[in-house]
Amino acid sequence: MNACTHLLNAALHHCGATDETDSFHSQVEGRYAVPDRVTGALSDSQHRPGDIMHVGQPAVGRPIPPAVERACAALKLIEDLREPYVRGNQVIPDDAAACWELAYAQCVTQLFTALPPAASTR
Amino acid sequence: MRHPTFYGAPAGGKHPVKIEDHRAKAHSIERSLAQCTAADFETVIEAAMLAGTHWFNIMLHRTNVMPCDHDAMHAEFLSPEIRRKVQAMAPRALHALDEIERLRTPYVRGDMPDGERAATHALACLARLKEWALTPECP
Repeated sequence: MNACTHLLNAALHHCGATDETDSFHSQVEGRYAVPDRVTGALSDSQHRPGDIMHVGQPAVGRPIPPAVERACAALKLIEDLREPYVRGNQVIPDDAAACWELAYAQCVTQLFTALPPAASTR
Repeated sequence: MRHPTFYGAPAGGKHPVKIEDHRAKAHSIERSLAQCTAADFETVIEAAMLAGTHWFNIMLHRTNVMPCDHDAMHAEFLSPEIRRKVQAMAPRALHALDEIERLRTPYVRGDMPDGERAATHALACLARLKEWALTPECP
């Protein structure tokens, strides 16, 4: 999930859907930490979407390419696994792991098609 | 913008997470964590948060601060009332989880330097949470 979110943010910046700002998303939707690169201090900020925290958080509010849409759908599937299987104790169905790995692969593949070649080198 | 309104969510959706389940989850995550090095600092910090939150929930349930059918997701989003209770009862444990959560923004989502040192700090905080959750003083 974390790896895909970073790739998704790269793709969203690349297509112009979000701003490439020097700020990091916090645990609170829409709240960012802006680093002082000299002192290392962080200050709170609320601004237009730079990096997103999760799919739709914050909402991008601008059109995104179909490949990125497909990547978001795959990433959302991965995000939704946390509640039942990481925080919760639901039993994992037999074929689940393969489905989850497929979602990860689809997310990465779709995002690499949306990124310039240099950025998508594995 | 959505603000977190989390004051304790139903635990594990339709499957309440009991204390022993939290313990098993924490141990499972820690086994994965043991395969990481400090160079994997993003994963170390995330795993420390996930395992630490399970230990934290054990503490909340054992002390009856939060019932077993409700879990805390992040220390930052605890209600003021529950935070005050935990602060009074286990300030070092609360601080430890706050610290782990604080590390995510600059080192997991962000690219601040010294990620390995942050990972080492996260592991120390996790150890503190685990120690408290397992201590006999935690009723």
